[in-house]
Formats: sequence, C-alpha cells, structure tokens
Amino acid sequence: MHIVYAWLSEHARQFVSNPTEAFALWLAVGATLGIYSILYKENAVYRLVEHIYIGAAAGYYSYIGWAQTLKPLWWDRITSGEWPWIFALIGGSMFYFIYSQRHVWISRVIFGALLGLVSGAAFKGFAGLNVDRIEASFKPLWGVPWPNIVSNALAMLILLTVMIYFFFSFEHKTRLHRAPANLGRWFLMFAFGAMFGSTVMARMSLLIGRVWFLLHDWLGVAH
Amino acid sequence: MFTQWLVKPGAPQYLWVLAVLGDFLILGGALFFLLRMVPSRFRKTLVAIVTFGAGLIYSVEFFVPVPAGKDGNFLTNFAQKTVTDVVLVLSTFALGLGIYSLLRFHGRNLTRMRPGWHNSLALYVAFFAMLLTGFWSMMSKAPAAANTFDVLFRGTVAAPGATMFSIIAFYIVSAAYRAFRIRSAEATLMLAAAFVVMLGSVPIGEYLTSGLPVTGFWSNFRMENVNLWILKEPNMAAWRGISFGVEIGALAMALRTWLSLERGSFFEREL
Amino acid sequence: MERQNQSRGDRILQAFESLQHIDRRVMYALLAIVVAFPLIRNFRQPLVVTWPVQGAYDTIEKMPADKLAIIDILWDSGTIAESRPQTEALIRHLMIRNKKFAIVAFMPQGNKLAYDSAKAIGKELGKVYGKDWIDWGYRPGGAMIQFMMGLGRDIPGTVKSDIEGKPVTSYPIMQGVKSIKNGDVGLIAEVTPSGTLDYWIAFVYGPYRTPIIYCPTAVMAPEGYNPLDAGQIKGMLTGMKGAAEYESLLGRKDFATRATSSLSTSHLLIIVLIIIGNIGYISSRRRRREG
Repeated sequence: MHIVYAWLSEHARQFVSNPTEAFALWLAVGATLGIYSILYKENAVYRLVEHIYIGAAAGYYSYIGWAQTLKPLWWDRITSGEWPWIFALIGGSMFYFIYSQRHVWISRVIFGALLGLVSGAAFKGFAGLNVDRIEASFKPLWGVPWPNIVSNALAMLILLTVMIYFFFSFEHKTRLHRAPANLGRWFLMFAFGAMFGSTVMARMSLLIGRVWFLLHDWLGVAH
Repeated sequence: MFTQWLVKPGAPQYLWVLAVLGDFLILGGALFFLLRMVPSRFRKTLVAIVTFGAGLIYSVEFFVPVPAGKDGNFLTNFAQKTVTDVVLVLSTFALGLGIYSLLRFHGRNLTRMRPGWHNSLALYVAFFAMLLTGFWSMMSKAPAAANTFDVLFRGTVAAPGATMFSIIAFYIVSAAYRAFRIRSAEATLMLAAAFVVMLGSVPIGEYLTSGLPVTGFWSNFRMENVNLWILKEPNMAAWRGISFGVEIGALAMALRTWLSLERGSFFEREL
Repeated sequence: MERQNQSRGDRILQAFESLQHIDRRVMYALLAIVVAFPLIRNFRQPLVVTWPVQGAYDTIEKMPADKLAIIDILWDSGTIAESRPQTEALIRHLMIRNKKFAIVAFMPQGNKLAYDSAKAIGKELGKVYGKDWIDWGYRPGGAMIQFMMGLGRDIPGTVKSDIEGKPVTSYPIMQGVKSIKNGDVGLIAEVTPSGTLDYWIAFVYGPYRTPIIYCPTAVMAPEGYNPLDAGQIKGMLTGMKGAAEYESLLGRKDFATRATSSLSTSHLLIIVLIIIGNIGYISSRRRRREG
C-alpha cells in the first residue's frame, strides 16, 4: 500500500509541476491498456480506442500534408506570384472524380499520368539496382581461401537453383529442370526459416518497447 | 486570371484564397467541360496517351546519351526538377482520397445511427481535435498550442500505433506454437533455420557458444557467426534469386502499364 | 499387466498430446512475464558487435566532415521500438563526431518522432538546429522516387523548406550544399520498416555512388544481405539488436541495450513452446498410428 501511495503521490506531483508530460503519459497509458484489452477478448473499450487512434492519425496526416508539403511547395509559390501552380490544384482535384460514377474516367487521366511517370522510371531503376548485384553474383572460385571457395560455390548454386525454381515459362517436366528446381525449393525453405526467425525478433522488439514504456515511464519499476 | 493579374504578392491571405478558388472554378471548369465533350470511345485512348506521354519523360531522359561536357541531356533538368515538384504536390493532394473515404464511411454511420455509431463519433472528434490543434500550433507561438498538440500526438497517435503493432508479438507466439509443425523434411529444415537465426540474433545464443575462441577456425562455430553465415550466404543467395525474379517481373509490369497493355477489371472497364 | 502398461503408455501419449492445446491466454501471460522480468531485474548480457553494424559505424567515422549526411525516416509509431533506437544511435554518433546531417521523413508520424529525438539529443550535446543539423520535414511517400532524383541535381531547389516552413537556404548548414551529383552528400542512412532501400540504391547509389547505411526492422533484415553482399550498402543495423550493438560502439547503454535480455527470454519462450507443440504433435501422430 505504501508503495502504491508513494507512486500515486509522485504522479500527482507531476500533474502540478509538468502537466503536459503527465497528461501525455496517462493518455498514452490509457490507450495502451485499452488496446491490450483485446488480448483477453473483443470489447467496447478496444473498439473505442481503435477509432480514436484512426481519427487522430488521419487528422495528423491531414495537418502535416498541408503544413509541410502543400503550404511550402504549392501555396507559398502561388502567393509569391507563380500562378501556373494553380494547375496543380486542378490536377489534384481530378483524383476526386473517382467518387463520381459518371465522371470516374477523369480520375483515370491523372492516375494514368502518375502511373506513367513511375513506369517510365522503371528502366533507370532496374539498371541502377541490378547491375551491381549481377556483377556480385559471380563470386571467385579460386585465388581465395578454401572456406570462401565453398561458400561462394554454395551461394552461386543456391542462386541458380532458386532462379530455376521461379522459371515458369516452361513446365518443370524434365529431370534436368525438376531436380534443380526442387533443390531451389529446399534452399528457399531455408531462407524463409531465416526470415521467420527475424520476424520473431522484430515483433518481440515492438512488444518490449511497449512493456518498457509501461514499466519504466508509468510504473517506474524498470531502470 | 485572378492570381496572375488581380492579386499581387503581399496581399492578405483571404484574397489569395478567393483568387485561387476563382481561378480553380474558371480554369478547372473549362477543363471539365472540355473533358466532358470527349466521346466515350476516345476516353481510353486519351488515358493511354497521357500515360505514355508521362512515361516518356523519364525513359527518354534515361536512354538519350549525355552530350560531352554537359551533365545532363535536354530532358534532365525538366525530369529531375520540375516534374519532381509537380509530383510532390499532386501526391499530397492524393492523400485526401483516403481521408475523404474514411470520413464518408464513418459519417454515414453517424447519420444513419448504425450500431457502433459512437465509435464513429469518437473518430470524428479525434480527427478534428488533431487537425485543429495542429493548425493552432502552426499559427500560434503560444506554448499551450504546442503542448496540446504534443499531448494529443503522444497519447492518441504514437502510443496506440505502437501498441497495435506490438499485439502481433502475442499472436506470433500462439501462431508459431499452433502452426509450426515438423510435418515434412522441408518444414523441419525451415524450423531448424528459424531456430538458429532466433538464437544467433540474441545475446543468450551468443552466450551458449561464448566458450569458443573469438578468432581462428573454431570461431566459425560461434552462434553469432553461424547466424551471420546463414544470413550472408544461403539466405542472401536465395533472396537475390527472388529479387531478380521480382525485378524482371516489375520491369515487365511497368512496361505493360506504360504502354497501356495491362489487362484486368480496372484497366478493361468501360469509360 | 499388458493392458495396464498399454493404457499407461496411452495415458502418457495422451498427456503429451494435450500439450498441443495450451490456451492462448496462458501463452500471452507467459510472454508478458518473460518480457517484463528481465526489464525489472535489469539483466545485462554481453553483446557481440557484428560486422554489418561495424561497417555502418566505420562509414560514419570515415565520412568527411564537410559533407552532409541524410537520414531518411520511413518509420512511424508502429515500429518505434526498433526504429527510434536506430535513429537515435545514428544521430548521436553524427553529433558526437561533429558531422552535419539532415533528416527527411516520408512518414508523417516518423517526421515528428525523429525531430523530437534529434532535438533532445542536440540539446544534450549542445548542437544547434540550422547550424549542426536540420530537418527537411515530411514529403509524401508517393513522390519518393522523384524526390530522390531531384536531390541528385538540386538539393535546395527540391527541398525548398524545412520542418518549420523556412527556406532551407537561410540556414548556415545548407550553405554550399548543392546536390548529390556535386558530391555534397557524404552518406545516406535509411531507417525503414519497408522495402524502400531499393529506390535509394537505384536512383542515388547507382548514378552517384553515395554510401548508404541501411537500418531496417528485423523483418526486412534478411533481404538486406543482398545489397550488402553487392557492396551497394556499407553497413546494416538489424532492428533493436543492431541498435544495441551500435550503442555499445558508442559506449552507451540506452533502451536497445537494456531490451536485449528481454529479446533473449522471449525467443527462448517461443522455441520452448514450438518444441512443446511438436512433442504434442508427434504424440498424437503416434497415437493415431497405433490406434
């Protein structure tokens, strides 16, 4: 009881000395515990907190979109005399015709323009990304210590068999095709296992972050 | 128009708002009526022409050689500066699509008082609270504005967001427990790889083999080195194979989209 | 006697089979305990610094002091536990070595979170905004490729304003910074939970060979060994563990270091539960075969 009383007193003091921190902390704790309540079972508190989060995040995105992109890059340009930027508003408004059943095709014009831009950049992207990787795939098989030779040979074998596995232009009918494809599948299992191991680490890290927040920032039992 | 001739830099903000609205209605309206006059059989062609023209900018800029002594060809400046600015602004306008859909859906919940309408009300309240506080903090230098924004951000955006994703940790435990079964040799191999990576990535795994020397032949069997070797050699090679396949597929997809050859319900819909 | 043995064997198998049906809430409670306990008891475990993290550290050490580093923030509150320690470790290192850097965010939440972190660390180390570091603010992720291409040719013209809405050219840190092509950027550090590294490699490393450090969440880390092997990135921090290793290189014991013991115990729990589940599975298969 004494510990609880001391803890409550400490937090009450914080409300007086630093109300911003105190309010932020207790709001965050409430939201955290509200969301964790779903681990027991589906409930109204979780739904409420979820909706508040979605609404607040949407509001934040809207504000930031104006304050840090539209205002400096568009509005300030128009108000400093660069009037052609009005056409950006016209172009941007064309997106919203997606909600009109009759004029939805107008939104396709602007979507097409953006898709075209991204597609056109694909050639440069492909070259910039893959040339180095193709070069690095040819690893030295002599002139290096023998453990490296083994590793390099294994890496090239895995790369080849995995690429053969994904080669679907022809059916995997012949043994010449099936055997390396099966081997590639085995190596892929290995890679997916490694990915699962990494995924576990990622998810646990996120949980540890929240537990640390509750134990350290709120309860003060972790240091 | 209004923004070009009638309102000058330095004019009050409300005049600029009216001017922009005026220009938008006139120029936008003119464009809208022009587009409405396009017969429906030419609409797909128009979309295809716009898509192709937009794609030409970057692809021509990439393929046309750079003249000697220059640092770009005739399109480089336009492609990498002007187009950048335009796309940044257009992408931000597009953000509003998601926001509008969200508000429209929950607005209907509210107006029709569907079950759970109070959640939709909470969403609206949170949305406007965050939005208005943001603008307040932008326009006012008062500490109260910045503090309120900070409190709302940390309490209603950052904390719930982090918690939502942390729940996955619980689900991954129960999912791994239920689903990870050694039903076949491949599943066993996958499990073995997962165990080695899981143990090798954390200090307890490193501790298990800490008795082995740090250098020399036997250091290769330290858990962290086994883990790194698995990730750097077999895992890397497998992911490289996957990425080559994905990249070639993405390039083919990009080419089809650029040339409007793509098929599917979205692309084949009548305009 | 035989029937007694059989039924005892059968009972044992049945008991093992029930290991497949542990209630999920029991597992949740166990997970919460194994995560919380090391944090409360303040367990510390020695950390081994791996070569991808060392590579990232060395890249920052080698970066010339007159160049600008760009820290690209693509994370938000969902991955804050992994991405923020990585971001803070990089920021701290750059500030300790008096190297200038700019933060740019393609995620709105990450924009504020990274700015707050940089402000706090800057205050601690006596670094001045606008002189030692700058935050270029948020840019929409949909225009990331175009933004990168724009940085290649004209940084002030592409960025225009900072997080406070002021022109970037008004800050001392941006004096003399023209473009990536001009060699004004010494390093790009991408902190991200998604697969956007390929854009930096394709549109910045490919044409200009600017060194890149990759800081993914652990989920994306296996894919990062591909560009690491090809030399397209100079180092990698894998999630929270990578941040912990980086902290040890900086001689600090911040959140990531403290969290590694909970990582160990939670991983052990999952391994034990998977083994238990498989014992139950093998037992039920055996019972079905014998039945």
